[in-house]
Amino acid sequence: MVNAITTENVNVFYGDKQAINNISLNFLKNKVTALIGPSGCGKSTFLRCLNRMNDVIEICRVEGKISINDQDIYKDQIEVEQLREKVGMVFQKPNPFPKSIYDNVAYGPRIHGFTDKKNEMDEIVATALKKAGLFEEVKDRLNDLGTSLSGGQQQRLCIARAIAVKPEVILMDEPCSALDPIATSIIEELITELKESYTIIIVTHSMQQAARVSDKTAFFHLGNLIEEGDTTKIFTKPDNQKTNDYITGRFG
Amino acid sequence: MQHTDKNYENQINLINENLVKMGSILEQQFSDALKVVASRDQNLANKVIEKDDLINQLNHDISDLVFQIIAMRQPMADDLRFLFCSIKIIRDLERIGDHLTTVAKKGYRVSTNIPDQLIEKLEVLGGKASVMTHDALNCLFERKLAQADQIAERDDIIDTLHGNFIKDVLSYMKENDDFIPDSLALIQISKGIERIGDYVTNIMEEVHFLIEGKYNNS
Ligand SMILES: Nc1ncnc2c1ncn2[C@@H]1O[C@H](COP(=O)(O)OP(=O)(O)O)[C@@H](O)[C@H]1O
Ligand SMILES: [Mg+2]
Repeated sequence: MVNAITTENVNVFYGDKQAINNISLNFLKNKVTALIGPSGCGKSTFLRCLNRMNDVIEICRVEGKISINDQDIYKDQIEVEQLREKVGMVFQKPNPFPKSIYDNVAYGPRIHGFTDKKNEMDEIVATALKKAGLFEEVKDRLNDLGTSLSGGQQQRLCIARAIAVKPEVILMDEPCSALDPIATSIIEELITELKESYTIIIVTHSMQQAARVSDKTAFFHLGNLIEEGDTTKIFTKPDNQKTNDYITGRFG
Repeated sequence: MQHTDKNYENQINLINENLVKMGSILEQQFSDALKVVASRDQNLANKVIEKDDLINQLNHDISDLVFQIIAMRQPMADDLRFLFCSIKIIRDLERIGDHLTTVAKKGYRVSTNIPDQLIEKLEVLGGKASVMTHDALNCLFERKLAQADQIAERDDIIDTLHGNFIKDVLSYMKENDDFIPDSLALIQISKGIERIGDYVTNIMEEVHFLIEGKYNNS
C-alpha cells in the first residue's frame, strides 16, 4: 500500500482561532478516502491544505508537513500551479467557466502547455470527458456553454476539467450536495471508476455516501481527527465512542 | 447517548422493550414447562401452550419494527449491529418457545409410574438449559459478555447429559414395555431441551457479534 499524500502534525489557524489540531493522516494511492464530521469540524479546511487552496485566505496559516510523493508541498521548490496540476479539486457547487464545454476541459491543458495541436487537444478533451462519463451526452454540442448543462452534467464537466491535466489526486468537497439522487448516483459510480487512475479524497456530509463510495473514512470533530480506518469498520464497529455516536445520529 | 431524533430513539427502544418482554415470557415458560414435567399439571401445561402465541406475536412485531427502521433510517454502527442481532435471535427465541411447548405437551402426560430418578435427571438437564438461557439474555440486555463464559462448554454438558439420559430411558424401556409411549415422551422432552441449548448457543454468538462487532471464532 503506497501513500499518495502524507500529512504530519498539521495545524491550521484562521487568525488566532485554531481550526485543525495536530492532524496526521495519510491517503492511500488509488483509494477513496472520505472525510466526515459535523459542520465546522474542519473537513474543508483540511482538504484545502492538500493543494494549498488556503493560501488565498489571508488570515489562514498552515503548520506541519504535507507531502506528495515525498515532496513537501509547503517547503520544497514546488510551484502552486504545478501542485494544483497534481492535485485537482471539485467543489460543492458545480462551477464551470462561462465558456464552451470544450474550452472548460481544454483550459487546464492549455495553461500547462500540454499541446498546441488542435487534433491532440481534441483527443485530450474527449478522453477527459469520457473518463468523467459525460462524452456521450455532450459530444454533439461541445461548443455549447458549460453552464447550459444540467447540475449533474456540470459537476461531471468539472470532474473532466480536473482530470484533463492528469492529476494524481482529486479532492472533492461535498460534490453531490447540490445534485438530485440520480445525478448523485452517477457521480458516485464515477468516483469508483476514477479511483483506478486517481487517488480521491472526498468531503461529504452524507454518511451513506461515505459508506457507499469510500475505502477509508476519517472522522473529524472540533478540528481533531477522532478516528480513521476501513470504511466498513467505521460504519459497523468503530473503535471510538464519539465516532459511533456521530454516525448513528446521536450528535452533530 | 441518545439519538438526536427522538422518534428514532423511541423506535430502537421499542425493539429493546419487546425483546425484554419476549425474554421474560420465555423464562417464565421455561420454569412452568419444567414444573409441568415434575408435577404433570395439565392446567399449567395449557398455560404454557397458550402463551406460545404471545411469543410468536412478539417475533413478528419485532421483525416488522426492524424492517421499518432499516428502510427508513439507514442504521449504522451499534444500531445496525443491534438490529441485525435482534432479527437473528428472535427466530431462535421463537424456536425455544416451540420446544418449551413440546416439553409442556409431553410433560403432563407422562405416567406417574415413571421412576423419579428419570424425572429428576430431566429436571437437572432443564435447569441447566434454563440458567443458560437466562445468562445469554442477560448478556444481551446488559451488553456485557461476562456471563457468556463457557456457553459453548455448557451446551456440550447438556448434550452429554441428554445422551446419557437417552441411554437410561432405553434400558428402562427394555424392562418396562408397558411404558414405551411414556419413555418416548421423555426422550422427546430431553431432545427439546437439548435443542434449546443449541439455540442459546446461537443467541450467544449473535450477542458476541453485537458487542464486539465480530463473531467469537473470527
Ligand atoms: N475563511 C475562513 N475564515 C475564518 N474562519 C474560517 C474560514 N473558513 C473556515 N473557518 C472556520 O474554521 C472552522 C472549520 O471550518 P470548515 O473547514 O469549513 O469546516 P467543515 O468543512 O467541516 O464544515 C469553522 O469554525 C469555520 O468557522
Ligand atoms: Mg465544508
